[in-house]
Amino acid sequence: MELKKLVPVMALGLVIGGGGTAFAADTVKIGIAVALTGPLTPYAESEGMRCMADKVNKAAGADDPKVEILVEDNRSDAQLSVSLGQKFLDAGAQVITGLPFPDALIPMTTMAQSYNVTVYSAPNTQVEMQELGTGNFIAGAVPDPINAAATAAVAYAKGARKAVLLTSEDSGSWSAKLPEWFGDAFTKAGGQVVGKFSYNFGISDWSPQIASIKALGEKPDVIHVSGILPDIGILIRQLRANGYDGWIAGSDGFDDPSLEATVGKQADLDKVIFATHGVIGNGGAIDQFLKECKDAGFKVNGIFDALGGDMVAVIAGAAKKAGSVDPAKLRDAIRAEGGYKGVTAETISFAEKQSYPIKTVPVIGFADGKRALITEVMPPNIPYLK
Amino acid sequence: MDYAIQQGLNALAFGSEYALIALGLALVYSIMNLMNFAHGEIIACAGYSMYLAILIGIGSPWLVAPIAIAAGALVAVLFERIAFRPVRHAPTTTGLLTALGVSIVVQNLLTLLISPRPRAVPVFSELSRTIFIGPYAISLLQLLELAVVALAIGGLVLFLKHSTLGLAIRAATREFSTVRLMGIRANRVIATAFALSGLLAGIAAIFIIARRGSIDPTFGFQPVIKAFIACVIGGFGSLGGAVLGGMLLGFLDVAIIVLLPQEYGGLRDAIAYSIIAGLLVWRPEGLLTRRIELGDKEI
Repeated sequence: MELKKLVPVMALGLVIGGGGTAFAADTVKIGIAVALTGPLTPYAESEGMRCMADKVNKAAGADDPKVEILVEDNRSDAQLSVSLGQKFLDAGAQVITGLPFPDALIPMTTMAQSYNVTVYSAPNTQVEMQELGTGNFIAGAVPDPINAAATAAVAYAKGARKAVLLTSEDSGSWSAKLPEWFGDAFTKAGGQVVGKFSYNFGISDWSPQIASIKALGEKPDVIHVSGILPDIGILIRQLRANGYDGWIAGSDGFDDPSLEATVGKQADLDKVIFATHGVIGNGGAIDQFLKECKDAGFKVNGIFDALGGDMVAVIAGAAKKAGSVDPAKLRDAIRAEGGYKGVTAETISFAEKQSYPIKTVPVIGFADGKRALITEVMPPNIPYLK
Repeated sequence: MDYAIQQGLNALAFGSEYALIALGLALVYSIMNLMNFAHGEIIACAGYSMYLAILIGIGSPWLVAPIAIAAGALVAVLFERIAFRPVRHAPTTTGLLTALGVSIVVQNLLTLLISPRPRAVPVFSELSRTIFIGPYAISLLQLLELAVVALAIGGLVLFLKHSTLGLAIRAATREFSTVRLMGIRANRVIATAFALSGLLAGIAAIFIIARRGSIDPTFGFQPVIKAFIACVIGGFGSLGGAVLGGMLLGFLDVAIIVLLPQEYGGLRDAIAYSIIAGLLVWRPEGLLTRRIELGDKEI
C-alpha cells in the first residue's frame, strides 16, 4: 500500500485507538498486592474489594466510572509487595496498596508519588504512615493510639488497675507501640503498668514470657498484646493454663474467625477484649455485606473484607464526584467534604484528617464464647496523636 | 532461684523441640549430604494428616498421634523416592535446590488443595494443662515433650547400634560406597534414614500442633530454620551434634528473652545470631564434628 493511502488508514486507527483509550480512562484501576498466602492471609481485604467492585460496576450507569481490581499475591512479603506496586503503576493503576505495614507501604508511597498515584491501605493503622508527609497516602482505618485508648478505657472500667504489655518489633508501631499507648491511656485513666516483655511473631511457646509475668512482684489484671494469629490464640491458651484469670486485651489482630478455634476452650475467652474496625455478628451492615458477597461467590472472611469494601466504595464514589479518573483529581475527591457511604460506617470521610477517617472504635468481648459488643465510642485519653 | 529453674525448664522444652527436628535433618544429611529443607513440609504433611483425620471423624488423640507419625514417615519416603533419588549422584547444590523446590511445591499444593488460612486442630488441647510441682509450673506438654524426645533419641541410638539396618546406616555415614560393596542395598539404607527422619518429623508435628492448636501451609518452615541452625552449631552430619545444638539454641533463645532488657527486644535475633557466629568462628565445623578428611563423616 502506498504511503499516501496509508496515512488516512493510520489516522482512522488513531481515532479508534484514541476512542479506546478514552473508554479505558473511565475505569479506575486499583492494584492490590495482598497476602493470599503466608502468615498474614487471615488479614487479606481483597475479596471484599472484588465484591464491592462487582456491586459498583453492576449498579453503575452508562456514564459512571467502572472499577477494576488488579490482585496479586504478595506472599506476606513486604519486598514483593513493593515490586508488585511498581507493576501496578506500570499497568496504569490510579490507586495501589500492599501489605499494610510501613516496610511495604513507605516505599510504595514514595514510588507512587512520582506517578501522582494514591496509596490507600484499607487496614493500615500505623502512625508512621500518618507522619510520612508525602500527601498521597490514605489509611482506611483509624490510627493505633485510638485503638489502644479504646481497650484501655474498657479494661479500666472493668476494674483492671495493673497492666503488663507484650511488644514485638516485627510489624512496626502496630506491634511495638500500640501496647505502649494502651499503657499510656491506662495510666492516664488511673491504672499502672507493672511490666513489659517482648516477643517475636511466629512464637509457638510463650512459657518464658509467662514465667516472667508470674515472677513480677505485682500481679497484672490486664495483659495487652497487639499481635497476629495463631500467636495470640496460643498466648490466651497458655496464660489460662498457667492460672491467669485476668483480662487479655488486644487490637484488630484478634479479629479473625480463627481466634475461637485456636484458643479452643470457650471459657478461656471470657475475659478477652479487642478493639477493631466494625461489629460483626449483630446483623448490621457489615454482616449484610459479607452475606451478600458470600452469596455472590466471593470468599470473604471478616472485618478486613469489610474495610476492603469501604475502600472501593469510597474510590468509586470519589471518581463519580470528580467526574474523572485522573489520579490527583480522584485523591482530591476522596478527601472532599461529606465523605462517602461505607460498609464499616454510615459515612467515611477523609475531609477532616486527610489521611485517615474519623470513626468510632468498637471494643468486642465474649459472652458464652460468642463475640459481643462492649462499647463503640471515640475513647478518652487518646495518646500520641496531636 | 525458683525463677531461674522455671526458665531452665522452659529452655529444656524449647531445646528438645529443636533437637527433635534437627535430628531428622542430621540423619538425612549424614548419609546423603542433603540439606533437606523439605523437612518442614514433612512436618506440615504430618500436621495436615491430623486435620484430615479429625475431618473424617477420628477425634481421639490416641489415634490421631500415630496417624501423624505414620504420615510423616510415609511422606518422607515418598519425597526420597520421587524427588531425591533421581538426584542422588548429582552435586550437593542440586540436592539443596531440589529440597527447596519440593518445599515450595508442597506448600503451594497445601494452599491450593486445602486453604492458605489457618485450620484448627484442637485434638491435643488437653496437653496445655499445667502441672504444679512445688513452685514450678510445668505444662503437661513440656513434660511429655522432654520424655518423648529422650525416648526417641534413646530408641534411635538403640536402632543405630543394635540393628543390622542401623549398623548399615552408621556405616553409610562414614563410607557409603564400601557399604554397598559389602552387599547392603543403598536404596534400603537411604529409604530407612528418610523414614526415621519422617517419623521424628511426625512426632515434632504433634508437639507443635499441641502448642499452636492450628495449622497452615507454612507451618513447618520456621521450626526447620531453627533446626538447621541447631545442626550448624552442633556440626552438620553429627547426630549428637544436632541434639546438642538444639539444646544450646533452646537455652540461648530463652536466655535472651529473659535477660535482654525490654527496650532492646528488637535486637534479639541480632544478638542470637552474633553469638552463633562467634561459636562458629571458634568451631567452624560445629561443636561435635572432628576435623576430618573430606568425604569422611562422623556420627
